[in-house]
Amino acid sequence: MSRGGATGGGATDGGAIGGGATGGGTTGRTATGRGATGRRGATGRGATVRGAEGEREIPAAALRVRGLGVELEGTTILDGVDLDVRPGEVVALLGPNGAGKSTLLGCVAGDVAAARGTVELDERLLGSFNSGERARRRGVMTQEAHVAFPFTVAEVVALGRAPWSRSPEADRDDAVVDEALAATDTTALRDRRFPSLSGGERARASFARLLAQRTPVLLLDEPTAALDLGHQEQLLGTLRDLASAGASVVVVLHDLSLAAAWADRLVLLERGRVVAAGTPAEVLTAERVSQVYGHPVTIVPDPSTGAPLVVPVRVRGGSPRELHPRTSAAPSVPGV
Amino acid sequence: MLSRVDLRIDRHADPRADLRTAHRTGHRTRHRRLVALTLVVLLALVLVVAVLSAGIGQYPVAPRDVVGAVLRAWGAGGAPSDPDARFVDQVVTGIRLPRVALALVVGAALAAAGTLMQAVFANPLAEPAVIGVSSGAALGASSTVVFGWVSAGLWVTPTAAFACGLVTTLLVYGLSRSGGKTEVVTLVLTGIAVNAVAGAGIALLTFLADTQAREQIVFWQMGSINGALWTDVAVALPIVVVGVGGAALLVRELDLLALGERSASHLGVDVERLRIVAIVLVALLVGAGVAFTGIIAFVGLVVPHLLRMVVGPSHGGLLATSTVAGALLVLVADTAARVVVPNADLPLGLLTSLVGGPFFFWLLRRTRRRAGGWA
Repeated sequence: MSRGGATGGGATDGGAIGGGATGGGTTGRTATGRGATGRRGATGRGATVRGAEGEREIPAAALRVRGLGVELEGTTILDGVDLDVRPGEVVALLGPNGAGKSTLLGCVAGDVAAARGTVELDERLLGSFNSGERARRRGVMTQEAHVAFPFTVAEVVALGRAPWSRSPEADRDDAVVDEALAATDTTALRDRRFPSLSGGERARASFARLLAQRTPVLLLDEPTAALDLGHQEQLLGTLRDLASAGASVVVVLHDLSLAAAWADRLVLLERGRVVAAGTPAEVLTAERVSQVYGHPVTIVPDPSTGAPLVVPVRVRGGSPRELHPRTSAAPSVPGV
Repeated sequence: MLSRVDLRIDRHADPRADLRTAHRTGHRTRHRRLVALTLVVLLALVLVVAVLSAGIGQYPVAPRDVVGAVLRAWGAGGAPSDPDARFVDQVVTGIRLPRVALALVVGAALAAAGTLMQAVFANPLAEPAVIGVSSGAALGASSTVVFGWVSAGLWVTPTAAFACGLVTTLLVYGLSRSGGKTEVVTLVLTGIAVNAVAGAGIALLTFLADTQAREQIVFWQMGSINGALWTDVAVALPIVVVGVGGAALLVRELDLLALGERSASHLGVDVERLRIVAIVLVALLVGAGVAFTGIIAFVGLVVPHLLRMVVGPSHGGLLATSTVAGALLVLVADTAARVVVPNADLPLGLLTSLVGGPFFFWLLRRTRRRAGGWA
């Protein structure tokens, strides 16, 4: 699917989804200064939001992380991490391999126990929820999509409705599942057995399951890793729409340009610490990215939206650091 | 506090939604019908085979007379005056029917235990006998005979089988998991280790035992329903009803567990509690089976696997149909054990292993092919 098509589909869903938004959603939308369709005018979005924060009413953070420290087998994985995610926001966690992104997401999801610090969901300590309450507040899409038995895609997506069983919401299970399948382009796969799907199809089906869970907080660990370009844009577009309708989204991404295009705020991690947090334009400077990733990059504005595009410096047959003195000015690059 | 964001679409806003819902409802109804149909067919087969099985043997009884004997035993019509007919009644209700009933009860227990175990390990190769739980239960049962505790009452042997089965299941579970998953290789190798230790324990008991106890131990190792009594059924049946009933309460959560432990917990499953409950139920079911019939391997492997092909992996339908199919399979196998060799009662465990072993191997090969070699 082309980007236009994907975005169009997302916008339709978003319109319908946003139409049902209640209190929290409306507040979120006010805070980010954007309606359900607002993401089309994405130019300078992050800056606007940032600049507006001081003036506008800021809703309470749906997720609040303070001084988080995690140690695994004596190694410090996370150290002194703070994170706030408000309704209406898409926050992308970035950083090189082993920076602690997945661990941070795992802590927020409640999978990983923290050695220090607190995680609050809806202004309550995460540990004070029972598992059922938690499942109705936050949904998680993990990196690996594995289903032990040959369930069909529709059955797997319907499992996302489990937290709402024995509640009035359960009446809508069928409609919600159909909608989640449609939003992820998996309606045609509904009767296929999950283990027979390709990696990208599994990722989309897992995303559909997350959507079917209908939680105000969504946590995703590299959801786009296996997706083609069209479905990457579609997925981020859907997240954007959900945020516009009042959801809080935390997504781990490797593609910096993708993160810059769709997220309100970026949090850049390096060796377990936050090195930068803010709007895409604030976080993604050539100097900082080159330093953190150990590879020189240039930042160019997206011709249509102005969002930063991160372009690695690529030179065949030679070290880019020597041939491009301007970009190699990044202080972290050794030997310059 | 943040109210839950309402992200719902009004179904009627999209005319296609009704159609899609209709399609889905049809799909779900089809699944329910398939499960119901499978259950009806299996139950009918159980009934037919039960009547035939009670008639087959050294002293053949016509199916009509079997039904007559059952009805008379239930008080429909008085006892026949003809001594031959009275003998028929005794053979049917006193010897053959308890055996049929115990075969059904134990078969149901083993298949249900296999279904549960595969769900908990998220691995279609998990089976009570393969991973050593049955051996552990047999060790417990054997010790009650060797040390003479069996005289304390009918419940002693099942209790010991349950306790040792539970310890073994917990042990296997603890040893074969890493990072929330059970690798096939780890599971099978753990089974070898556990079977070896339990086998050594049983060998020691055999060494210590007197002749009579030794015979009993051999019986447990080979597995047989020969000599079943109504009192056995009376003890086994309630245990199995509790076990299967308990499993039925877990089916939804077991479906979620197929997504992996983390995802299941993200969807609100208390994975730790679910595991413990399921493991206790497995031990209960296996203990009940082993205490009365010894080790009957592979029923818990073959039955859920075949039924998954018929009714799909959803644990509600799978548990119900597997339980009945397990009962049917063990009844058929036990009837075969009685009649295949004239005037000899083959050990049932021998028969199920003869069929189940190659099946397990085939499954192993298939799993390996799909995984692209062992990790």
